[in-house]
Formats: sequence, C-alpha cells, structure tokens
Amino acid sequence: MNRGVSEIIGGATIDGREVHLHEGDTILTAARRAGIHIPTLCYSDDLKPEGGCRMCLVEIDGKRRPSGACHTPITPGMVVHTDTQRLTDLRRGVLSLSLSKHVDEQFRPDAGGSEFERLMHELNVTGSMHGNAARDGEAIDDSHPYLRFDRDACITCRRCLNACEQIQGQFVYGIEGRGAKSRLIFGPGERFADSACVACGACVEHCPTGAISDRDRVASAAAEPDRVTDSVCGYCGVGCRLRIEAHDNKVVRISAPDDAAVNHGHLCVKGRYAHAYHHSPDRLTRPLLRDEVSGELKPVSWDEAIAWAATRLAEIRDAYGPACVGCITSSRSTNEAGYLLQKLFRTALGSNNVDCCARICHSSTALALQTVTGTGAASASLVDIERASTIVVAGANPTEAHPVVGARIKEAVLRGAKLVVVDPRRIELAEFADLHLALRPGTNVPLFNAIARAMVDRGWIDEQYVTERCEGYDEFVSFTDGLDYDEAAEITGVSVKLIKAAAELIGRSGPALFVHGLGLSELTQGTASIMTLCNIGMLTGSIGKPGAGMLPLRGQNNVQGHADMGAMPNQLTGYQPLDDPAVRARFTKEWGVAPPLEPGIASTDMVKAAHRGELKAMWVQGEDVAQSEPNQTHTIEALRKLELLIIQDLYACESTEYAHLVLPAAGALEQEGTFTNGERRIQHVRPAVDPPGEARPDWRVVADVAAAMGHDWGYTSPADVMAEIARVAPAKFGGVSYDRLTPDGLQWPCPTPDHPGTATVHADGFLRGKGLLVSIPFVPSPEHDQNGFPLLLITGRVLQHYNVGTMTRRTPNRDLVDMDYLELAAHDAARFEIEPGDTAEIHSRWGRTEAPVRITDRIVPGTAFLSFHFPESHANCLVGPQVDPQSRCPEYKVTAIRVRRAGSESVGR
Amino acid sequence: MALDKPIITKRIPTPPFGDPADRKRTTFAQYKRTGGYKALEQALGMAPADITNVVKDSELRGRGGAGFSCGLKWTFLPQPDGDRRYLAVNADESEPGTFKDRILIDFDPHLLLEGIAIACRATQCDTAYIYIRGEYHKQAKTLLVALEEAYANQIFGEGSINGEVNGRPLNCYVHRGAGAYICGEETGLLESLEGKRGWPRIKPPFPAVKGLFGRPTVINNVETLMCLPFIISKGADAFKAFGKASHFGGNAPGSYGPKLFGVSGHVKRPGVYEEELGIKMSTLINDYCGGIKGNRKFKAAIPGGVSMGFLSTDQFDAELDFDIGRRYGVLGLGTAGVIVMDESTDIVTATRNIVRFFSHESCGQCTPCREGSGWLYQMLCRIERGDGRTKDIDLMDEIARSMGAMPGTTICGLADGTNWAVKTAIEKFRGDFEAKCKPSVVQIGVNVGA
Amino acid sequence: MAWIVKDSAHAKIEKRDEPYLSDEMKRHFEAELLPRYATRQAALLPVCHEVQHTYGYLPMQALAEVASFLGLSNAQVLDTVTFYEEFHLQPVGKYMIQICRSIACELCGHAFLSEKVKQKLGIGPGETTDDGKYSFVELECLGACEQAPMCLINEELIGDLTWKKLEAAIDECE
Repeated sequence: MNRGVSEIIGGATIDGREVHLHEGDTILTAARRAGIHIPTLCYSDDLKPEGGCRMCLVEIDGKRRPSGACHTPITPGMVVHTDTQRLTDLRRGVLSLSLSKHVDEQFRPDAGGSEFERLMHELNVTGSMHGNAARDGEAIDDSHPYLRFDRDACITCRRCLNACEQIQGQFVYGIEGRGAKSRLIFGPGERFADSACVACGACVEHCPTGAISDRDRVASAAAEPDRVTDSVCGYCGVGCRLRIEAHDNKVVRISAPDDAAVNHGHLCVKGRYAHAYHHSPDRLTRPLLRDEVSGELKPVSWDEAIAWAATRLAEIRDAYGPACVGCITSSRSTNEAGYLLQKLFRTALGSNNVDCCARICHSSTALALQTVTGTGAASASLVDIERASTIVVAGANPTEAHPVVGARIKEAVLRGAKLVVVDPRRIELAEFADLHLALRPGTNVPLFNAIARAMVDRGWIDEQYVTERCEGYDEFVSFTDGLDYDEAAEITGVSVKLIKAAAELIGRSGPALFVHGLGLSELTQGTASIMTLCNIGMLTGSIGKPGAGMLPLRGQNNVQGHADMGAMPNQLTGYQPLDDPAVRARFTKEWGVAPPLEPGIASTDMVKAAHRGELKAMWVQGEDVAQSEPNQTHTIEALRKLELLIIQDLYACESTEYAHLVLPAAGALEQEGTFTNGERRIQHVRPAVDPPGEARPDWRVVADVAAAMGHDWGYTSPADVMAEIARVAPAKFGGVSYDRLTPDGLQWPCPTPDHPGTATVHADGFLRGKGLLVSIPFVPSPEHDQNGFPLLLITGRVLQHYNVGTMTRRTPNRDLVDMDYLELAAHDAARFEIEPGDTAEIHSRWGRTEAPVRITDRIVPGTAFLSFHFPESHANCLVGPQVDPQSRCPEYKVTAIRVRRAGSESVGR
Repeated sequence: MALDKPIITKRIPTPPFGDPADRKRTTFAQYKRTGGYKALEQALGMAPADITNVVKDSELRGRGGAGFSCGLKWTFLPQPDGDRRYLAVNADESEPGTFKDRILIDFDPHLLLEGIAIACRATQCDTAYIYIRGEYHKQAKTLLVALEEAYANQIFGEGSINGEVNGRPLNCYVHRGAGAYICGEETGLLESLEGKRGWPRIKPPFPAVKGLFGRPTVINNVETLMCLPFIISKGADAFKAFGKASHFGGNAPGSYGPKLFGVSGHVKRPGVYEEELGIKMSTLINDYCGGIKGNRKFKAAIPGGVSMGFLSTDQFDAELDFDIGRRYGVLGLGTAGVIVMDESTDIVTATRNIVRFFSHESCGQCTPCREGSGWLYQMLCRIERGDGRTKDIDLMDEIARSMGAMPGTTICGLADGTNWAVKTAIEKFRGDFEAKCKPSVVQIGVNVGA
Repeated sequence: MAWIVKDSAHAKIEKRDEPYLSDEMKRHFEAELLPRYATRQAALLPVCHEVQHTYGYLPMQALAEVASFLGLSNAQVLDTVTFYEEFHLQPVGKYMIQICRSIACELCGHAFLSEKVKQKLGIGPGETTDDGKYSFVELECLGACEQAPMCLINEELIGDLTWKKLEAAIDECE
C-alpha cells in the first residue's frame, strides 16, 4: 500500500516512444506511466508481480525470448515492443488456453464486463480454440453471508491469494494440487464459510473474473446504482473513506477509493459489508413521547416533540438548577451534532454537565497525553505504521477492533518491522510479534516501569532527546532505581528475561510507534498506564518523530471528535480551559452567552448523581447507556429515577425503556457533517441515502430545540456549524472549513486556512514545553486478589461486532457470530469442571450472568475474556463501579470473577 | 583423448574399468585412504577467489542440464557481508532417463561432500543443503551416514578444518524433496527448501543475489561438485585434457572434462558410463552398452533427459557434447542421460509418454504450460488411439510453437521441454504420426475435455 | 498465522483428542530440524516427512497441528503439501507398489507389469486393497532407468523386473 515517488533515472523506448524511468520500474510500470497499455490478468499495481498469466509478454530488442512486462525491470536504453503481431498471437493463444478450462458460455467478450471479459473483447477472442471443459455441478459456494465463490469462473490467477496475504495478512487462500489440476482452496474446509476469511473484501476487489464476488452485489445486479457518494465509515475510529453505491435509497455496495489516505482502498467486514442496519425494519421513524396515562411511548409530531423537550428542559432547570441537567453526546454522531448539544447545555441551560462516551473509553488516554505532552490526542498518524521500524501494540487488539489498522500492522511486520505486543491474550498480532508480553490484566504500570528501568540501566535511551526535550528525568531515575525486577515479574506475570528483552528490542531500535487502546485506559490505573507508556516513548526519543510516537486507537468513529468539540465537563471546544478569560471572552462573543464557570460532572458521575436523585434530566445522544455503562443494575436504577430522559437513537434499545422522549436519528450514511478519526483527521461525511420516515440528523434536532428555547442559532447547514467551531477554537481548528475537506480531510492542529494540517504533533518540541517523565508506583486494582473470585475478566470486542451490537446485530454479521462467548484457558476450565459447549455462570462482586464457554489457548490461566456485543450476555452487569480517580474512566478491563457450569452446585475456588 | 582411467567414477567400478557387481559405498576411511579430502585441504590453503579462478579456467560447465559455466556462476555472488550465504546442492534428479547422480551418491558420497566443502570455500557459503528428491530414500540415508562420518572427522561443524565461514561453522544438511520434478529447477528448488510449493521464481532477482531466505545462494548439481576435487588437485589443464573446444570456434564455450553418460532403453547393457565429452553416441551404444537389444536397428534417441527432443535415425553418430543442440536440432545435451529407441518403437507413443510426464509435472504457475501441456497430451492420446486427423499434427505443432518454439513464454524452461519433444518428434518422425491419423476431411472441432 | 474467526473453521477436520504432534516430536523438531533453517516454514517438508513416517499419511488434524507449530495458516500448509506427490492426505496401504511409467520403463514393458499387478491385487492405479495391505500407484521416473522396468515397494527399489520377480516381491510383503 506504500507508494513513493522517486526520481527519473533515465529513459527507454516503448513502442517507439521515449519514456522516463524511475527507480524500481518494470516495463509495465514505465509503460503505464507513459499511457501505453499492456494487457494483464494476474497483475495488480498494489500487489507484488505474480507473473503466471503470461498475458503481459513483450518483446525487447536483443532478446530472443519475450519477457513478462510486469516483472522484468526496465533499464535505460532498453527498446521494448508491446504490440506486435507475434505478441498478439501469443496473448490470444494464452487466453484461449485459459478458456479451455471453462464451459463455453462462462465468459463472453464484453467491453463492460469483468476484467477477464474486457480482455477477451480487447484481444478479440470469442471462445477457446482449444475446446472447453464441462461445468462443475457443485461450483457455486454461497455459504458465506457476504462472499460468493464460483469455481467455474476461477482461472487460478492467484490475485485473491496475493491480496489476502499482502493486503490483509490473512493467508486464507491456497492452491491445491499442481498443473492442470490446480484449484483454489480456502484451507481445509470445503466451504467458504468454514475458512479463516475475515471478509475484508480485498479478494473481491482483485478477482478479474468475478469468481469471488459480493453476494449483495450479485443479488442486486439488476439495480444499477442511482447515487454514488464518497463518505466516511461509521464504525471504529480508524475513519476509513467509503464509496457508497445506492439504488432506490438503499445501499447496494460499499467499496473504498484506492487513494484514501487512511485505508488505501481497503476495508473490513464491518465497513464494507455491515450496512444493512440502516434499512432495518425496526428503525425509529417518528418521535415517541411517553404517555403519562398509559406509560407507553406514543408517536407524536416533530413540532410537538421539540416543543415538549424545550419546555421540560426549561422546567427542570428552573425547578432544580442547571447542575441537575446533563447530556451525553454521541461519539457516533457528527462533530456538528456534538458541538451543538454541548452548546445547548452550556448556553440555553447553563450547565457544564456535558460529556461523551470518550469518558468510558479513552478519557484516561486524553488526560494522560494532555498531562505529559500538552495535548490529549495522538502524536503520530496512521501513516507512521508504514514508516515505523518498531511497533509496540499495548492493550489493543487491532485485527479485530480496528481491522484496517490491524492489516496495516501485519503488512508492516511482514515487510520487516519489529513488533512487541503487550496484552494478556494471545491476540492475532501476538503471532506476528517478536515478543509477546502476556501480562496480568491491570498491571501495565509496573510492567512499563520495569521496562523503563532496564532501558535506563543499560543506557538504551536517547539521551540527547531526554536532555533537550524532557523534564523529570533525575527524579525518574531515582524512582526506577528503587524498583525491583523480580517484584515486577511477580506482579505482572511477565518474566524478568522477557521484560529485559522488550527493553532491549524497543530501546535499541531507535524511535518506536506505540499503538495503544482501551486495555490501558479502562483501568483504575488507566491514566497512569498511558503516562508510564509515554515514559518509554520519551526515553526512546519517539514522540514527535515520523514513524514513531503515540497512536491511541479510538474506539468509535467520532469519539475523538466529540472530545475535540468540547463534550467534556471541564473543557470547552478545542480543549480550552473553562476559566481562561480570553477563552471565555471568545465564546461569549460567539455564543452571546457566557459559558458557565463551574465545571460539570462526568458521565459516570451523572449516572451516580441520578441514582442519588441529584441529577433530574438527561439527554443522551445515540448511546445505549443502560448497556454500555458499567454496573448495569445500578445504571438502570439510576435511569428509572430521572424525571426527564431524552434519547436520540436509531432504534428502541435498553435505555429507551426508561426514556420520556425518543427522537429518531439519522445513521452514519444518512447525514452530513464531519467525523474526526484517531489520528485527528477531520473528514467530510455525506449522506449516501436519506433517513427513513421522519428520522432527522442529530444536529438539526438540537438546533430546533435550542430555537424553541429562544436560542435561534440560524445555521443553514453543518458547514455553518464548522465555521463557528473554527472561530471558537482557532488554535486547533482555525483553518478547517468544508471546502478544504476533500478528499482526505485535515489533521488538526490546523490553525489557519493555509495550514496543511499536522501529521506529527510535537515535532518541534512538546506543546506543553517539555515532555514530562512521571514516576508513578503501582497501585493494585480493587479487583486484584479478591478472595473467592479467582479469575480476572477482560471485556472487549470481536471482529464481527461493534460495541453493544446495535448496528452489527442488525446485519448478516450475526450469521458469522451470533453470541458472546466466555473465553477460558483449558487449565481453568478443568479447574472449574467446565467443558466445551457448556454455559458458564459468572459471578463478580457486582452481578452475575451466563455465557457459553469457549476453551482457548489464546488466554493465560487466571484470565478470562467476554465480549459485550449481545444484550443477553449482560457483560456489564459484572463490571464494578470503580473508576480511574483522575479520568473517571470505568474499569472494564479488570473484574474479579468466579465461574461454574450453569446449573451445577459446585463453586470452584 | 578417450578416458584411459576413471576420474569421477574412480571409486565406482564401471565398465570398461571395473565390474558394477563390485560396487559398494565408499566409507570415509576408504575415501581418505584413496586420496580423498586432499583436494579440500589444498583448497583451504587457497584464497576463495583463486579457487574460483581455477574452476573458471577449467571451463567446467554445469552437469545438471543447462551447461552454464560453474566458475562464472560463482562470480555472480556479491562480496560477503558477514551474514549467511547458502549452497544448494541440486540432487533432485528427476528427469526421465537421468540416474547418474543416484549412482554417484550411492557409491561415493564423500566425493560429493568434498566438492561441497570446496565450493563453500570458494563462494564463502556457510550452509549447504543437499536437496535430494524424495524417492531417493536409500541415497538420502547414504548421505546421512556419510555426513555423520564427515562431521565426526571435522569436515563439517564446529571445529572443522574449514574453520569459520561468515563467523559460523560450515554446516551441511540433507533436505528431502517429496515428489515434484519442478523442484529440480533451481528457483523451484529454493522455494521448496523454504517449505513452499516448488514454483519457480521470477527473475531477477537471481539466486546469486537474492536466493534462499533472501540471501546470496549458489546452486550446483551433484556431478558438477564432484568434478571439483579433481580440478583442484590436478589443475584446470588436466581437466581440459578431456573433451574439446566448441565446434563453433571463437568465444563459444567448449565441452571439457570427463562426463557421466547414463544410457537406458533398448540397449544390451544399460547403465552409467564415464567418458570424455564429445564421444559419439554410436560408440557409447555399441562399445559400452553392447549395442541395441535384440540386435535390432537404431531408430531414435534422446540425448539427455526427455526435455531435449529426439535425435533422428541418421543422427546415430551424433557427438555428445554441449554443441549437440545447435548441431543436431535438439535442445541440448541436458543431463546426458541417453534414452535409446530401436526400430520397433512408435514415436507417437514415446512422445505421448514424454508429454504426459511434462503435463503431470507442470507446476501450474503459468497458463501456457498448465493448460497447454494437458491439451497436447490429450491430443497425442487421440492420435495414438487412431482417432486423430492429419490436421491435428499441424495444430499440435502450432501450439508447441506458441508455447515454446518461441521459447521463454513461461517463467521456467519446463514448457520448453514439452515443446522440444513434440516439435522434434513431428519434424523428424512425421511419418509415424501420419500413419496413425485419418486424413482431414472436415474442419476440426477440437474438444479435449477437462 | 492466526485464524480465529469462528468455531466452524475447524468443522471439517475430524478431531481426535490426542494430538498427532506429540510433545516429544515437537521437542525433536525444535532441537534437530528448526536450527537448520532461517525460517520455521522451511521445516515444513522435513516435519511432514516425519509425521507421515509415523502415521502412514498426513491426517488433516496433523496438518493443522503442523501449521500451528510452524506458525503457518492451514491454507499455506495445504498449498505446499498438496503440491508434492509423496504426501498422502488419505490413508494408504501398508505396502505401496510404485511402478515407474516413464519413458525408459515404458520402452522396456512397464505396461505389462502394471496389468499383472492390477489382476493380482484387483485394484487399479491409485487404489488400495480392501484389507489395507497394498496400494498400487504408477509414478513418473524414479531415477533408475538403467534397471527399467523397475518399481519401488515402499522405500525399496527393485529393478530389472520380470513379472516373476515382481510377484515374488509382492508376495514377500508381510
């Protein structure tokens, strides 16, 4: 996926024309650049040359034998002929032989058909001169919900195999047998659905014959798209660019532009295929108001809903004061929607009780990075994955949770980058890693401290960088001097040998890229985990350098954006302090109202305040808090106590049970706005289809409620909102406007209209002045060493699903994975007398649930894993109320549990 | 001059110098006693470049089939950079008619090991793999026994007389193939050694620069390596005393040295014989092999493995050297495994057999060979059955040309072998084909099925 | 590499509880084979040879175990293994009668021998007798053309065959 531009190194002649040569050119690349067409079949410009189809044969003066253009280097002075009668005869012969494997009517020359059929048309080959084969009766495999394989159309060109290996790093395909009997296989199973396929679709994009195709594309073959839209994926925080084809207001196909900065034409099973949720029959299409008499939600008009919301919000504020109202903005919605909701609460309601779901994922990351570097976001960019010589992945499982990043990391490793994985589970990347540190959950701090100590001890640090750019080093050295390796090994479960090996690998290879996720932040020592990882980042001189630095993977499409927008109780848009007079003046001028001075409370505290009866009204934008917040039982009790709960969502969900007003929202593919991905890239989101029924974009609804409360903001489009954002937060967004966002958006900070955006933050020194080395000792989680709860539970995502599953469960992804599993090590399963296929009863100190068990060697004894995508599993019933004291982020990643076979009497110890 | 005493087969009793019944494996002690490993000791006293120069001067050409200059091949390696370099020994002798390496390994394995050590010294390779075809069970075991002896006697391993190469002890391992002819192709061999299907690689990069595991690699045939001890101990001129310069004069490379000829098919005493390059095929057949079986007449022969194409009845006196291709209208000398056919042989059947071999062994990577060889085989079966038409002969000739008469449409040379067999058979024995075909009266509708 | 998608990914593999690759075999491979090569993948052929030597063929589960041991995907292992004729993915007879059918052996009468074997054992090329004792295959050149016609019975080469000699060799198999 990495294409550089190089210098001209000479010239050659192709078909009588002079062409410029660049370093590494083959005859084909040089010809293509000059606009000279050479037919190909097994070649693709994002894959290594395969060379087997022999379609690109050309003649070179002075060489008797024809050469394959795709793999023959072109040298200065070479004279090449691509279009002679001899070559045409050869190519026609080869194509004819290719056809001889297939039934007569399988392929027809067609200028508008598949690549193979276009080639037949180009070479004027109508059929095989060498006879045909019989059709294979079992040829079509449609066992997979998204992909279809037609063996009769397979010419074994291996493009699918190469794409799978070189783009996705997945190794699904193989060739079985040899010679004329060669056939494509997908591992040992006969069916596609039984293969290791992760449905990234790279093979579909590359197949020249349509042998591998999208099922939905085949099903809608008659429906030519009537609307093609470029937009941004609404799933994880990678922010892949999409090209969406729609017909009759339905999405029929999603692909990715090859030139997309984030994903280079690549996608994952969610982004490419799991879009059916937009057209789910249970979409909310009208506002629903709870009838006071019957207690049922009843449809009302938008006018009535907006007026009612405005009135009730004002009543409650007037009755209890602004501290008693709060909102949670949706990290899946646009920047504009989030900006307006916090503006509504800060202006019309006078409350700083605004927060977003970043609270329950990356609040620790933002706070830690802000504290030690000066800004609460990634210092690096995704492009640094390709540039990095060493990658450290800590507390993140990118191949499942951020698949396109996962694929990019795998590619980088296959090309030779070093990889260290820090994760209690043997995640897929661990198999690609040079070192895997399988630590006990929640012990990142002592692990990172011990690694840092080994680096300091052995001098594996960038002294000049530390001296010039950092502070706190002396104190840090005296702190690490007091650390004991054996103790660290004891606490973390990682051997001293491995700790030192990691220190050596990371410390001696120069700047490294630190890719980290919720396994670091969702802990009581979450902020500390990230700060201690930053210590390593600074000791190695990584932060602020290309190919290196801190790269947190954001969980949701726009969780970065909502924090940026000021959906935080203690900071205004662009991370500006509430109490800075200059900042306040700017907001007051723009808003016409001064923002309240008193900081609000975090979402986790809002739930607790509601439970205590102190918070009376909440507006929740697109988040199923009843399912996503920790300690589910407690959360539901809190929601029941609210006097007003407004929910904007796509569907009725757990939380709408307790809502007074439910507002139908527009999905990610149905509205205009911007999303900001984890590398601070603000990208333009455009509607590919219209929302169903009366559902409306979130930003519009918020603006309408504000107007009903007497605050008519007068925006005509989301672009107007972005213009205001640029004015209130000029240091970060001053140069951002919609007309600059095509094609790949802008990475903030982008302070002025002529600023190109920032790929590497802190390049000229840390934004806070000096990078701060922190000395933080380990503090065990309250969940560690709980008597009677012998296992530590981690919760997390699987590839096929997304968070609480509201979207993916409404797509055929459900056919791929249809329930949450409790993953246990064989040792523990035996210990607690649980067998594969059993359902386990799981108890924590906070709740109980049941889940089917999967026994796996991907998890170390003493640890368990449960995904949280299906409401039946009630995963968050188990998670306790403790939060990181600094960031208020809940501890989803460590919960002490005990398990037993459901229905059994014994309780294992 | 004709060989007056055996050179390569010095320890392998072979007519006219010895009786094959007396053959047995030469042990390390016997090998050493009969002057073995002296050449290695000598080589260890020489600079690597000097060894290469001697080999270059000897004009030793590869004995595996391609006949490329061994010394020149070695010079393609880049300067050592301290990291690993490999010697891959091609013992994947799989082409029908070829069995010389089997006999060499069976009875004088240490000659190979000495050759390997000398080659490693010259090319500064630290690890050698002997890639031996899977069906050579006994030979693999023989090599393991010989290697055990060699390690025990400090020829290889820690503390061996070779000292350190690239900072490592010199190691030699046996690596067994598993039944795939294409692994005799040098880059197919490397792929197979890396644990993959033996698909030949696209070149460049060439193995000398980027070979096994991406490192500089030399690939040499068993017999080639076995020539080295003689060249080192006796000198380049002694080697060049056998054979002759090219018939084409000028800078054309000559055919020097002793050579093993394997003769099979319709002769009275099939077997391996050692002679100098350039011996007449008639001499080999009549003097060494006792003539054609049953005293029938000679009809055809294939000079060196089935990929070389047919020599016609009137080419009985063809001189077996590296010029044979240009002089007698075949692909080349190949492995010098001569397959002799008497007057009773049906060339259609022989061609069908050869094409089936290539179709069966096609690796499947390139379309022309994967699909074309099977198509040719089906066609030959038809003609052999008597169902062919005379036009089929021309059609076959055409595809043999579109695949390979313009050689090099495929990544490796395997398809060329198919085409040379078909092309020379039709060209030199068209009568055999026509005798089996019905005249073409209607337009041919070819349908060969899957 | 990893395939961690679904339980059904292994659905087609007949499972037995005891792994084919015993710890002892793995230790042996780690100590004897892997140090020879720069990559783990390079040990695939030697490992498969040993597994086949032990079990007579390469069961799917064994291949999956080999894949995981060498850090390869199932598809990669199958891609390689199915390329080579000597690897059997299905059980074969205790004795493999392997008759060479290449040019020298055809010139010297292999067809007659094949026909006789077919009649004697009642099986065609590629088949195994019901009692699992014999498999009969015709192979391309086995590299002993001077002894044509010839065959391999398991690992033993028998040349200059006459039917009498071959039949005696078949009968000698226990």
